[in-house]
Amino acid sequence: MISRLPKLACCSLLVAILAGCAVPPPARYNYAKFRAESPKSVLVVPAVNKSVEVDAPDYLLSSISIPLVERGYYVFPVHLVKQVMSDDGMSDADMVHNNDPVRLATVFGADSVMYISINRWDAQYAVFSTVVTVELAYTLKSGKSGETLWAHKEKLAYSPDNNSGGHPLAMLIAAAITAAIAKAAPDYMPLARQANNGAIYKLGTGLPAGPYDESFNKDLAAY
Amino acid sequence: MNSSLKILIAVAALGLGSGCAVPTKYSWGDYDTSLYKYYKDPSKQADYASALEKNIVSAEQNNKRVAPGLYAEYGYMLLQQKRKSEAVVYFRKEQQAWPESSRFMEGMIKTAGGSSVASEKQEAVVATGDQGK
Repeated sequence: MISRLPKLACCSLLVAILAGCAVPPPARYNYAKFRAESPKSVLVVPAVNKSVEVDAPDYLLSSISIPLVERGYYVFPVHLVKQVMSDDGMSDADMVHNNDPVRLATVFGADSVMYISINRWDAQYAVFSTVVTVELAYTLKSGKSGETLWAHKEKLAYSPDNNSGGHPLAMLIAAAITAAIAKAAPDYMPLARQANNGAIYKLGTGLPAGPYDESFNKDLAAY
Repeated sequence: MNSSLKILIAVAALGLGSGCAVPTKYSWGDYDTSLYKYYKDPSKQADYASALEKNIVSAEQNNKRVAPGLYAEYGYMLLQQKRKSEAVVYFRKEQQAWPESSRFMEGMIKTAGGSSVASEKQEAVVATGDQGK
């Protein structure tokens, strides 16, 4: 029994290492519903914000059109949509996300509605470095049935610290400077852009090419 | 971290990086950065509007496609400046370039005080009829 225990531990450790290192084939998303509808246009509504950064939904909105449009979709003008919705008493994102997607899509004439939840958009400050984290959950719902056609969660963290050798004191000062810069105005946009790209473009889990892309309907093997 | 994993991540990052370098299908100009700056500082609205305008002018001069949504966003900026008839022109451009926007733009054209496509066609018929005389 005593001799078996370390073996077991070794074994499970090995499994853990293997699981950690081997790049698992990404779990392919089930695209049956998406393919059945093949939406041409996407209405992106303002994001629900679970972070403490009040401006995060707006900042995110400024970064979402380019990757979606370049994927081959018609994306409704996000700023104009936001203003029109707000004029119509739909400025509360939580309320909008809980409302019927079919009704919303009908108002704009959209095939699908994209809901994004900002789960994290923060910077954690430590003595030597700062970690900036962005976590976004994307859900694309049908404008016809209201059903979820696609969903994906993307989490990214970035630490601007530089741990490449050098004098310990110099490193400490450099780290203090980067932390100070990040504290003054952490730049989330590179992370947000990366999260959008990761969510939309990843093989097997991203959005299939839209009608304005040349691989439209030719990427069935990957999506 | 395992070094092979590090390499894999580096390769993946490279792939993502090169993915971004692929030329875009459409002309965007400074759309995203100017919108971001406008959201960050509402006094930058004019900069955002002029970035949209600049992109439309240069895309049309160079025979490039203005990205979906940008005619409409510019139209809205004009509408806010009470330049209603100009706004209608851009809402209509969006509608003509992207049929998906048709219903939405129809509503915006009405909001801006423009006539709907149907009555516009009638006006066009009347206009050509006048020219024929």
